[in-house]
Amino acid sequence: MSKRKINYDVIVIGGGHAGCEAAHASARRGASTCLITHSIKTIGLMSCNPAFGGVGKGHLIREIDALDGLMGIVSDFAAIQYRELNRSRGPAVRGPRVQADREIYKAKMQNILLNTSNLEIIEGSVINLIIKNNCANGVILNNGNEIFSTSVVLTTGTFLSGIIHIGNKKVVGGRVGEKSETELSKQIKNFDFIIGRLKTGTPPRLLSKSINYSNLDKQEGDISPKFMSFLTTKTQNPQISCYLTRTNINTHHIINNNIHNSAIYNGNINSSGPRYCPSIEDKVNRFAHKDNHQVFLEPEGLNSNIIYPNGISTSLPQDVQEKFIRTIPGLEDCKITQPGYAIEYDFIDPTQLKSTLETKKIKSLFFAGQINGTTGYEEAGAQGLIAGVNAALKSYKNKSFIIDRSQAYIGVLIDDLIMAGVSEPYRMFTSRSEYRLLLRTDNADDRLTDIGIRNSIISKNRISLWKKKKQIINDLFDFSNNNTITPNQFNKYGFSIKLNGKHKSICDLLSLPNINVDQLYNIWPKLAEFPKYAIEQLEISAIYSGYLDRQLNDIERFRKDESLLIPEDISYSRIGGISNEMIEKLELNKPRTLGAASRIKGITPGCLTALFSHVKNSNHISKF
Amino acid sequence: MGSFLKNFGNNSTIFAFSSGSVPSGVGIIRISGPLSLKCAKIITGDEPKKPRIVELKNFVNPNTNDYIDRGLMIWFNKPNSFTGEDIIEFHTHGSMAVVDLLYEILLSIDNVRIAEPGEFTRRSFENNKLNLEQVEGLVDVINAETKIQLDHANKLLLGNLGELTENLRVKLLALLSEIEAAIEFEDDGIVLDTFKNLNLKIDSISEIINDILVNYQNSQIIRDGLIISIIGPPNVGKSSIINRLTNSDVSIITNIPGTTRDIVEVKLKLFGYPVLLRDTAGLRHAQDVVEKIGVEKSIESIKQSDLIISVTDNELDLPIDLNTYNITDNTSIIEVQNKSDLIRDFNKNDIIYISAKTNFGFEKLLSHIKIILESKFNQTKNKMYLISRKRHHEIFQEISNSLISFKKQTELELKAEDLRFGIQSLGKITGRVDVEDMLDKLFNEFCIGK
Repeated sequence: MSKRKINYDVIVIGGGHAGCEAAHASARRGASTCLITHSIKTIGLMSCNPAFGGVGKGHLIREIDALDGLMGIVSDFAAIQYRELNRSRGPAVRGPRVQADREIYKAKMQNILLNTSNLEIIEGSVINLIIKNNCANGVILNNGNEIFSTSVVLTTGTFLSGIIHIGNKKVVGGRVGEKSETELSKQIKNFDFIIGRLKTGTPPRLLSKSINYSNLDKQEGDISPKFMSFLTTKTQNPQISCYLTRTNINTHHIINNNIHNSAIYNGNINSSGPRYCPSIEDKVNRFAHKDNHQVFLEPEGLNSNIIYPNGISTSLPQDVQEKFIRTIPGLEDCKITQPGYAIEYDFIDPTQLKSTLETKKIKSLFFAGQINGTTGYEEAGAQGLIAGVNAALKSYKNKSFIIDRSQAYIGVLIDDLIMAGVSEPYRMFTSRSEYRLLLRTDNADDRLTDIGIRNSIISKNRISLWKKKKQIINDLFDFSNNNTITPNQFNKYGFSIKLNGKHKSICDLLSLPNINVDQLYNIWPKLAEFPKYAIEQLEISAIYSGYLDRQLNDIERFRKDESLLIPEDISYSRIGGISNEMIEKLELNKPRTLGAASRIKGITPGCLTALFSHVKNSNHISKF
Repeated sequence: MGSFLKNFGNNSTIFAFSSGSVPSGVGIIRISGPLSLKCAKIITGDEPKKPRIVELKNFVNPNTNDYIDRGLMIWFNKPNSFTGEDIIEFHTHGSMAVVDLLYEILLSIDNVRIAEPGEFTRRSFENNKLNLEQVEGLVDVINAETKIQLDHANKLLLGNLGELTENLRVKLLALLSEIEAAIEFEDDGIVLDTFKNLNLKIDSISEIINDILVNYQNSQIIRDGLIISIIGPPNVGKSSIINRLTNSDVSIITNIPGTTRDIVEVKLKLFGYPVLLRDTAGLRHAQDVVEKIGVEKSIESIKQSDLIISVTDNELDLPIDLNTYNITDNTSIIEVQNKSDLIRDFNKNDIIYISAKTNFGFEKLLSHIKIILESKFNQTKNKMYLISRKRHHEIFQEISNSLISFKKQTELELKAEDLRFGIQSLGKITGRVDVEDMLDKLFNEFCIGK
């Protein structure tokens, strides 16, 4: 081995989606960063479905992108089909999604990381964390080498005590063919972190050549694709189609007859799985009245001969998998290249984390990704980015990078995790956000890029592009607020709005029903000079106008509570007038803000009042 | 960006009746926030001239120009007030009618709303008006307040309202989860067969809400008293009947100066029941404008009445034809013929013959009134806990508005927004509804996920 530095600002353990974003974000922030992975070749591996984005998840990717993260750009680079979900619905709930070529994605991600300044990548296996005075200072590799750092980000996914189940067979490991980090797992348990157990599953992979597509429904991508990254301007690969088929009564019959052999049902797995991504065994059982379930046949890549059958994740024995799959139209002669399996793994109860994703127990130790009980590449990436930046900021005193619920889905994700914990793998839904109409994929840059700039994590190129875009949109809004017309004049163009003599601005007009920008071009020809993305912002503001006011009011109320910081060294027992029960709840959660305290289950208004005034008064005193 | 978005800020102006319960001799309505002075101007016509000076004012309904009450107004200027904001206090007569009217007027002003429990205190904290010791004392008060609210909520849960609101919550949640399922998962291939009937479902929920709102009117009877109007042509002895009623088995609680020019209103307890007795102007074809207004008000009063005592006398033989006034089925009518000492012929069974002069027939009239009062109060007793508080009424009104907006919206996410707002409003009575509740419902009912 060549001479390596043994001292870094930040060490990131794991090269999955959380690890990639964490390492890149940390390096972007200017910290000397070391990414440690079992194998460079597995960096950026998509271990489950070959797709990124969707409703809620697409929001997360756009937000990662707005903060100059990698997932958006790399998934555009690997995109072989664009399909925006909810295209027919309103802008707040549309979800950009791509099918991504696994090989291209991985290669591009590795290429970017290997060429990132401030970032070094080491192949190795971490067996222990170096922890001194309750502070993480580095790691020990299995070859005995020690590497030191100011902070450590742990993004080991399902590798903590992972067990793979295929039917009655059990294999220790995090992904098929890879080792599980049991030693590290033990060490973490020794630090008394509360650990829970979850499960997830994946479907068998099929050989494309063995599938008969001729009678299946073809699903094409969008004609005018919506890109994942704000920077992408064109598709990078030839675009492919997916196919749709369905299970039937025969399929369900075989599954039911063999249900006792499924790891989920034979008692081998008791942990909770995601309810929104159930195994086919689950679906057949829980929704017995349905005589078919959809199966989407998704190609794993342009040159791949493997198909990912989305919808039939299973932990039945391999021979049963083959039997039931062959009852499905188009799959009669199908060959399985890798059987489906269920995996059980440990996760850290995320209520033990701060909103920076640093652990409350051990300073400078950060957890991000699936290890915190989430599922999905996007959820992992989002946490990685936040943990990476904050790990980098550890070298500075009193600096942190926190995105709150009112700013982004990333904030919703982290707040949900640290305040409520998880009881099943956590996935993002748009319904989790109180401010859904404001937190849209189309305005992720407006919401976040300036915050990113202030925190020095945005590249020059993106800064200049964003500033230009922002200026144009602002110009359009100014133009639309300042240009007015009387109803009388307006109605001469063939409209019939109320005649109250009051001048109406373009914005006012657009918020009336049945009036859109297209109709206004001949009154104000200058409108046509603005680019589509700016017009889109104007129109969205109009569609949602009354509702956005309400959400902004809510946000202001929310911010007020969030702006009241609770000092880390607060002694809850010194607050007068609150019960022991309340003190315990506060001790356990250590809320950072009054708002966070109000989201702890069972906290009373009286307790909040006392906390509020205590903090306010002590802040007041400390000023003198 | 987002320059559409005016009306920033939750810095709304809040108000509440802050002197305990009504009826009482004097009631204080306290208003705090940036619009306090504007509220004062709307109700009294003027902004207060100087802070901390008591002014005697007429309170007038700006929409109708009706005189409401005469009382005191005080302005505590910011930042020297209790909350640190401009505070206006109206000291009115503590009558429910007056307080209700003022509430309605204040609620009609943009950005003015009823204060949440503890909100005045909260604002004074925020503005650094209280020190730690003062706060500790107040925490107990707020905890107690919360307990009372909790008890109250529990009490509600035992009665009809509890069942109704729970029923409502379940229905709204089911609807929301259906919509959210469509938003999150429709493109994953879940099929929602019931989805077309969204508006039908919302109609059935609206019906429940409307029932509650209507029942609120009923429960007002319990709280404010039954309205009994004495009507009839001039000089048939209406006033003497009133005097008889108020002097016999009754005790006067308050004597409110007429809220309208020509109606004298007396609040009293009759056989233990709260009653508002109204002596109306004589009904006849009015000659001049002033009298015409009086007659119109009488007619208005007739329409609001729970019980009408229609008085005629011997000399003017025709009673008032009540059919012309669109009186609802809920209103009971007693026809009384006064001055019966002057006649012999008591030939009509449905008429009570009395003589205010000789006291003849009064026993019978009173027992008749008693029977009607009992039946009216029993009718509403089952529904007694139905939103008897203005705050609850406002909440249900909010829910109702959300549902109306829901029906108008075409975009699914805005429908969801309306529903969420409705559910959030309901949460103010039943406790919070979590996203998790909705997701539970969603996952249990739909086969979701690829």
